[in-house]
Amino acid sequence: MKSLLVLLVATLLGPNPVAAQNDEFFTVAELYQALSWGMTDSEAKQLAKYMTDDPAVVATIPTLSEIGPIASNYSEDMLILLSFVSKDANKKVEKRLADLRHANAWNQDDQARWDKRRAEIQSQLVEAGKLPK
Amino acid sequence: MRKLLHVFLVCSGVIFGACQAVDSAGPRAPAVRMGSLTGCEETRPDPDSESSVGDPPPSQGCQVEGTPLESELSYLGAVHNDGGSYYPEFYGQTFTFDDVANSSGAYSSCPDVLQNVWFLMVINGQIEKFQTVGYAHKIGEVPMLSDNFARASYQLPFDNVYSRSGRYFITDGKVKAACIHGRFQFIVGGIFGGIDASDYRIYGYEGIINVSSNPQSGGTAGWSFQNSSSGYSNGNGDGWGDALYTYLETGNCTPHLDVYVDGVAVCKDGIRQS
Repeated sequence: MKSLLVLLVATLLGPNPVAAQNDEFFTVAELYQALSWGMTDSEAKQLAKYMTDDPAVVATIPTLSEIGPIASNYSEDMLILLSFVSKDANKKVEKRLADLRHANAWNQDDQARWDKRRAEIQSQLVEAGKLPK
Repeated sequence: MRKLLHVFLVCSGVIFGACQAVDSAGPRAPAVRMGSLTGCEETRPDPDSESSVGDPPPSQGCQVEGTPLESELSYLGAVHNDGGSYYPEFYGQTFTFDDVANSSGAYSSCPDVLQNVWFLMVINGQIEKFQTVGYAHKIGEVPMLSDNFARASYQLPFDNVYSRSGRYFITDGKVKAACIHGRFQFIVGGIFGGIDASDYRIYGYEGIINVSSNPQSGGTAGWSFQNSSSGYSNGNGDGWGDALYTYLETGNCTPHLDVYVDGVAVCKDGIRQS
């Protein structure tokens, strides 16, 4: 049922050319997918809209759009969750990590910590039946 | 003439000399200019005004203080606030503020520290990204807006942080954050597992923006820079930021440019050094 809903969300976002071609921001559908592993559908739906950095969606939320250009600093756990959503989402996560490396804000220790945490969360999500084995 | 009448100047008190033309019919992205930077080429740098660590004073001088919020708003286009009666919609379903706040943890507070904060600013009509390194410490709460997400202001770490283009740098300052938290939890083996599913929306930079190079200078003679743990320094000439990024990401050198990484010349006149 949940996968059908995800499919519906993806279908609804499909006609949006910006969303379809983006390689910069995380879409509502991607965030919804990630959040739905740890909260109810309705919560995930609401929060996904607030968390997305899709300019078209943010523009509909005055309290977030009027503060300036969108700079979503996702928590590390959030990025890890997003990395499990799809290959495309994982590429975007990798790009954000590359930006950190570029700024010398990410070293080998950070990478090791990230890998460990990612494996930990993946294992938990698999055990919880949220991700396939 | 009628169009002229629609144009007026908005001057921000927090941006020195910052005036910009805004069409009263609504902001338009292409027209965005930070007036405070327009005249930078005519201003000489004050050598004593830069106390930054390990970084020379701006090669071409001017400083901008304050937040270019007006510019940023203009960049975003016409987004109107109807005074707080906005209710978000998600695919046809309408939620109230309380729904959002209760489900998203909006009432929780922002964390005491944020790590490696980055933010965007619109400067001279261009989006500039600043990626800080280290911890930003919370220095105060910011009143909630109608979305009820916690907000706080943070002191950025004192360091030289160049914009992605390399044209500007900051040494410290303050930012605000809207803290969008999710209550993410699941059960593994009968035990609740918790994950920090959060988005910290950074905005409202307040501080000095230093101009690190003059795009009008042309040429790249003597161009060099150094990539150190505190950021990039010694940039002189337009495009060095992109050249450094290209090298770090691909290992390729940019034609005619020298690239120094951690004090070592890795590219000479566009040729990679062994």
